[in-house]
Amino acid sequence: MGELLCPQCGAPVPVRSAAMPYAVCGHCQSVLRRTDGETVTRIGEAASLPFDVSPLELGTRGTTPDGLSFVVAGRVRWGWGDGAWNEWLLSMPGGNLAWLGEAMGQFQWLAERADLLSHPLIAAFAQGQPLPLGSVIEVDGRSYKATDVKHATCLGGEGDLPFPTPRDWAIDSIDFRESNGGALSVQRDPQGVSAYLGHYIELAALKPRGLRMIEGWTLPEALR
Amino acid sequence: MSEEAKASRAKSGARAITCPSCGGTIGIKAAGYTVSVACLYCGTVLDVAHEDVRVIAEYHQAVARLDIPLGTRGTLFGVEWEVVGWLERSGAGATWQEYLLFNPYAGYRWLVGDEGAWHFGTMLTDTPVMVADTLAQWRGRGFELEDAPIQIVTRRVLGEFYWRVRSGDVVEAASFAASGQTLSCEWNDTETQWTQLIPLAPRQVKAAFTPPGAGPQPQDAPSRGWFARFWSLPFADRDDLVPMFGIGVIGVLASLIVMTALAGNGGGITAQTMVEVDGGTTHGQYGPLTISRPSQMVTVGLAMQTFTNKWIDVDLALVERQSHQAIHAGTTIQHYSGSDSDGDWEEGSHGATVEFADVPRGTYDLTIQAQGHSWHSGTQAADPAGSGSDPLAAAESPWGVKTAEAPPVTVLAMGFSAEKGGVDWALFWTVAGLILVLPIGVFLYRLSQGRLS
Repeated sequence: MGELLCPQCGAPVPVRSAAMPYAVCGHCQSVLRRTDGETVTRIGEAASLPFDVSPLELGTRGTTPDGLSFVVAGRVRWGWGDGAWNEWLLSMPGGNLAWLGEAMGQFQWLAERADLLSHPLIAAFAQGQPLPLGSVIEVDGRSYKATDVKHATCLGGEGDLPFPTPRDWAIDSIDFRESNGGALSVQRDPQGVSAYLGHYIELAALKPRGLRMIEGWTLPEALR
Repeated sequence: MSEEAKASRAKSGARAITCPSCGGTIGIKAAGYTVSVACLYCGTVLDVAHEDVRVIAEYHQAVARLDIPLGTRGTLFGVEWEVVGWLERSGAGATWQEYLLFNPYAGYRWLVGDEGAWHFGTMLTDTPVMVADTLAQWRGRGFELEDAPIQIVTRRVLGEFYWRVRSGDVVEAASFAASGQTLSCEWNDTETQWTQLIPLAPRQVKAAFTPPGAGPQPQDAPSRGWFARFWSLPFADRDDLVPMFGIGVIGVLASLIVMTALAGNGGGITAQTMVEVDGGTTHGQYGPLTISRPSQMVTVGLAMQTFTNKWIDVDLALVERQSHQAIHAGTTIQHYSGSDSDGDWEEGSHGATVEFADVPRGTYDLTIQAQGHSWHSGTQAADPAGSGSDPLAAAESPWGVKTAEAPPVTVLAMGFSAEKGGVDWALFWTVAGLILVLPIGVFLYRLSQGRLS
């Protein structure tokens, strides 16, 4: 794992995913942009993340459902009127990425699916149309139904990320669920729409190592 | 936030807020997940989703005293849970309690208590599909609608929740059952939530969530002072132990004879049936059993072939042949074993006795319905689903992890006998205990005093 020095405060900034153009300094919350792998520019400051008791942290490792190893390289936290959720960026060998969504103590394994943007409902959503509760999108023969429609703002980020995480970044986020535990997440911001497909997953199924130690709690046996 | 504040929060593992209504300090256990808190001191419901704490509904009430206080920790299925929230809900004329359990590594579960019956609830991420009006399908099995959907109202709330809770919340709800498992479905205009409910033995709940030093303790011997004073009465020194025991034993025998005579005796039914585990329901009808007295007791003894980590729900009914009046009774035969940090454990049994107390005169058939269920606790030695000994990967475990194939159906033999009469053993032992307590007490006391020669 490489390391950068924060141009703002001089603190070392570990690089967990060299493919990621952005990183947040863990010490002063500066948002840094990497170019050529060498040059680092400070482009802003992220909000510091509020304390939470997530079992994950930067550097947690594990195994994907396909058997690949991953490391948690970054996190974005989103807030909406009635709560907040985490999206953890997982970096895999070969520069592949996946996301682990964490809300209400449950996890969703998600990978970006650019091909879904041509779906008529998602294309219309990109044009500014609403994507209301109950909308159904068929993907690979399975029906995904919109169960959650939220307007959210970015509460901050940490680690290596594919995008900067400015404080005023607002998105429309639509969650779809499928009866076998499948999940589809469609997000829209002024720059465009992105779609992520995956499924609910138990933390233990990821065989995590290096989970965060939370004072007052011991790791359940199955996660040791 | 300053680095120091951040460090101290990270260390304490909790966020604390001050109730704007009563000034009480409330520690938030599930920081980052918790959205609303009902103040432990005044009941005021607070919005804590954001840095600024806002009042949702203000109350100044004496907060409820809970059977399991918030903050209590207990271990179920190998995971330690903290009770972080409590709801009192009612619907269809009943009122019950729901405790929200939290572990940062395992998420949320529910502990639902309804008049001494307990269930462990897991929110489902793979949802049942309605295949008919009254039939839901989940993980390859059909679950029948139990009753017409009801409205559930949340009456009182306390503690912290991952949604914006408030008393007065109303949802529609229906429950679906198959072989002892229950799936509960709750919905409103925007959301549908399915929850798997697994029955828990009351003693499991008690063992897990009764903090040491709380609740009823094993009976201690009366204090020395009281004991000594009582036995310093004059009769205590007389050599009367043998007559005391003699009279006691005669009294016990007499009561046994009287009770046996009252109980009556006569022809019974003995038969055997087979019970599928995680399969269909066994139905059987056996008879006749004729009651010739105005009222009599009927005792049904059940004995199962040996098993472990399973429970058998048995519904019994005595149905009168002419009037078709039925007297119902039920029991659960359960046996579990496994090992945890305290070593190997085992609980339950392979048999049960069911008593029908006052059966009126008539000719009866005994009907039996039995359903067997396996408990995939993950700690059993041989897991039929082949998912190993990992409790987080057991089939239909409370963890909700799916496995590819359904376990094979196990069939267990169940023998039973129904006998008219039968002594009310509970009553007999009570009588015997009352008769013999005095001579035994005297004997023990003198033994402790070294006065027996």
